[in-house]
Amino acid sequence: MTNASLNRLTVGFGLSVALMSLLNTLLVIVKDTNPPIKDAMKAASGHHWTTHGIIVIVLFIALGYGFSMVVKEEDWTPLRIGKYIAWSIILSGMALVGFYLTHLL
Amino acid sequence: MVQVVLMLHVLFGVLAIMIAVAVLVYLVNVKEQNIPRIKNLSILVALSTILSYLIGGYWYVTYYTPERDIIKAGPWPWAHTFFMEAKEHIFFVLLFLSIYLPIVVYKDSLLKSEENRKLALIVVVFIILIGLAVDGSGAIISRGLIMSLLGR
Repeated sequence: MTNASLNRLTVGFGLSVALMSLLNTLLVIVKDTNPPIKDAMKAASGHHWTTHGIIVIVLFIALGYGFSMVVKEEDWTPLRIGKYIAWSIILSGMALVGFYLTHLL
Repeated sequence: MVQVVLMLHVLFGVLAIMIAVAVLVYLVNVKEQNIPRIKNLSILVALSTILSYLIGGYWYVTYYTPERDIIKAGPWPWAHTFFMEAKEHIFFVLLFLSIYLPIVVYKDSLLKSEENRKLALIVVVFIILIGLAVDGSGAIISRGLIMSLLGR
């Protein structure tokens, strides 16, 4: 096996997964610590979680295609993308769990 | 009907985890004849996760509020304040990964590059781990409701 270069979509959507994992947690913290924002999200679709889903899914797809159009695939290796994804999920997961643990205090 | 909707959410969620485990096994033993299986199963992981999200989301916004209030008034309020709150948001990461998996296995050769295979492994391992965490959280939330109804 050799280290073949990646497809643009793999790079673009890999970066989108990594970034959106972090933005997803950030949006949770922002809306749960700012009642006016949560109320606005609820008013937009009837439920804050529905609006949350629409925002992150639309951003995920838009960023995935956006990154795919601007990245140079030769600058990225599969392991580099994998590390970005892994660390973003670990960090955003810890932040999310930590944030909701504070609700138990 | 409400319970059927909830069970379908669980069914597709568990199905996605089980298929992801099959993808993991084929990725560990990657060879020419396994590639079509990996590709087909990765599509099924994505479809099962999307269906679980849509069905679970419908149930959550339509039927969950009364159950939430019962759980919060009972002995396990953290079943909602921690496990449901975390589950409903970490699920989006599971959704992203499940949609990303077919992109990785269709767009890049798993046979020509060891690194491509490792990227697919990273994605599928996180799908399994987050899937199990979300599934376990669902069990705790259900138990929280039962604890409230039993008055313990």
